[in-house]
Amino acid sequence: MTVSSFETARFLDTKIQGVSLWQSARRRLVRNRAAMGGLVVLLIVSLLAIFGPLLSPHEYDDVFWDMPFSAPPDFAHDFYFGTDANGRDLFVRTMYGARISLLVGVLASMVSLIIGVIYGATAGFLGGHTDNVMMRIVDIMYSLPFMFFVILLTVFFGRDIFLIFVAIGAVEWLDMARIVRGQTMTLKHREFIEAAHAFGVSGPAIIRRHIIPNILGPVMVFVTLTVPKVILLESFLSFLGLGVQEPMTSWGVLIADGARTMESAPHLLLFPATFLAVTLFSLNFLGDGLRDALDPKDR
Amino acid sequence: MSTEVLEQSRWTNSGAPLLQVAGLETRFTTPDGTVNAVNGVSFTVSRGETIGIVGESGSGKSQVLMSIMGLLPQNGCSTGSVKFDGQEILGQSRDKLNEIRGTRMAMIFQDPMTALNPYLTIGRQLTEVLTFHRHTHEALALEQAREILEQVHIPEPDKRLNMYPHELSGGMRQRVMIAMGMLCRPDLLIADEPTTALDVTIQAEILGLLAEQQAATGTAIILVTHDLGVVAQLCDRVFVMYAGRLVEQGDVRQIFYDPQHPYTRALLHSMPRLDDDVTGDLPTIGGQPPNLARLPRGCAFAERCDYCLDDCLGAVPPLRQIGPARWTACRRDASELTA
Repeated sequence: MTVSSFETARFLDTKIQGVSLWQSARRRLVRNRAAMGGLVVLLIVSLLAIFGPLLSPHEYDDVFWDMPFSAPPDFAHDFYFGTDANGRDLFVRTMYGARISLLVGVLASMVSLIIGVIYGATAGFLGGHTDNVMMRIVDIMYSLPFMFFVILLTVFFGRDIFLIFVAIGAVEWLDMARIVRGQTMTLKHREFIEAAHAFGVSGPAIIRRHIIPNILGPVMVFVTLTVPKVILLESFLSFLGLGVQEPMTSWGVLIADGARTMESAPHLLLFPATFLAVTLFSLNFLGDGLRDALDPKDR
Repeated sequence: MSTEVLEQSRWTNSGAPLLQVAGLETRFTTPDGTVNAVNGVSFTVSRGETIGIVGESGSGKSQVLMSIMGLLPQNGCSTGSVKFDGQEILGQSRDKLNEIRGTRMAMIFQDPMTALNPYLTIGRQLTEVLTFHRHTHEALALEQAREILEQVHIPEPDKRLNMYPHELSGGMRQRVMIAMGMLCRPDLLIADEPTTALDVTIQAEILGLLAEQQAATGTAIILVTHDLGVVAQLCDRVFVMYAGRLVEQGDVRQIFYDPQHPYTRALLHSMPRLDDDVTGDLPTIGGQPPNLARLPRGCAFAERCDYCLDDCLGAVPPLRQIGPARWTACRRDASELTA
């Protein structure tokens, strides 16, 4: 079948536009008010995390000796959320905490998403011995105690926030891989996959074009569950002294501190907890909307 | 596309028959033992002809196709020889097979409801074949997809390209499947019960469409079905399969008007006819097909056969030629079979 370049050019002029899954999903997502609301809130929180500290004249690690400790919000002196138990500006600290928490939450989830989907889909698709070996590796990593793994990493590489991404990402993808593998196994024997084989589509292309779009729904839901899990895991690590180090902070650390002074100064808990809750809430809405948008039957 | 170009691509490696299957055996290893799904099947398919493979469920007709296409599950194994255009394709690597699958040899599946990916638009599914095999530019591929949809008589093809499979009816989806199969103008189109999942009026349309596409492109078709009506309507030659063996092959008219094998006769006899009187039960073939994991030593049909001889139980009757392009695997002559 030879088509001259002239004909090619003519065809390129005529506008038959294909709509990809992502394009139509985006259109459906935009129409979903709850999901868009969630997205807007997430954007605002992200912007605050980046530019929030500029709104206040204070630094996150400055101790203000002339302010009372755990003071309530004081707009006259630009302490919008008051001060923490050590006399530092809680507003700026919450914004800095947002940076760490969002970064850990999003990055670790993305790492787990990418590794987990590729690994799980490959294992499930290939099946047989390959699948067996791949999943036994997952089992071995599962049985490794998480804390031991993190301590090992910090011993070797020193304390670094980057290590938290590595550690959490390395553990979270195991769940994802299992879920994706299970979904792939059920898909593998569906007729349209067989049809793709019959039409001579190669294995990697079948995984990419046929299997992954079909498992995106459950995967999206799982990602939205992973993000809060990861944020809380980070605060747990920080609480043990393995995560972020003072004076740097994260939402998890702020909430843990706030919980200790809950009776005397509830605002120390209230502000970071509200931020975390609102973020997780929006994430859930967005994840739900994404799942619906990625299902063409909902069109 | 001009007809000259078409002719050229079609007759590149002439001389050898399009498809030559010799001594094909397919086994499945299962926890309950080895299942002998296909037991020494040999046949040839010439360019442009339509072959019907008939037989009841479990006779191995689909497994013959799957073996040819290299689509057996992991516990399946084929031996023998399958030559496509003179080239051995049995046991070839996936990459090697993928060079001909989809472009020179395409397949249409039984159930159009499940054979299309629910997450891809019709346009994407169609263009996949072109962009994957021929690296055609996306826009050009879409134009070709639109053209082929027009050829299979799908109204408003521009709109359908952006639709998802669930937005189309079963008949429309099967048309899309045929369009997908014909997109690269294959030399051989394999159709595995293409009309079974459709209602009768749509069946007729789809068969008409297959015949039309064949007339336009000169594709050879292998049609697997248990619907004898479909065979009579579309096929040039018929292979009758029983328990993984070919028991009779011949011209479609000969098979229908002068069946030689008792199984073929019984099969035709149990087909309801419009001109029959409808009183009484529909004749059936007594008994059950043999267990493919424990095939009898002799003729697999012997147990259900009214004309069984002692010899039939001892050894498998060989396929013997009884006329030009006419074979049967029965020791008895047709004159001895009086129903």
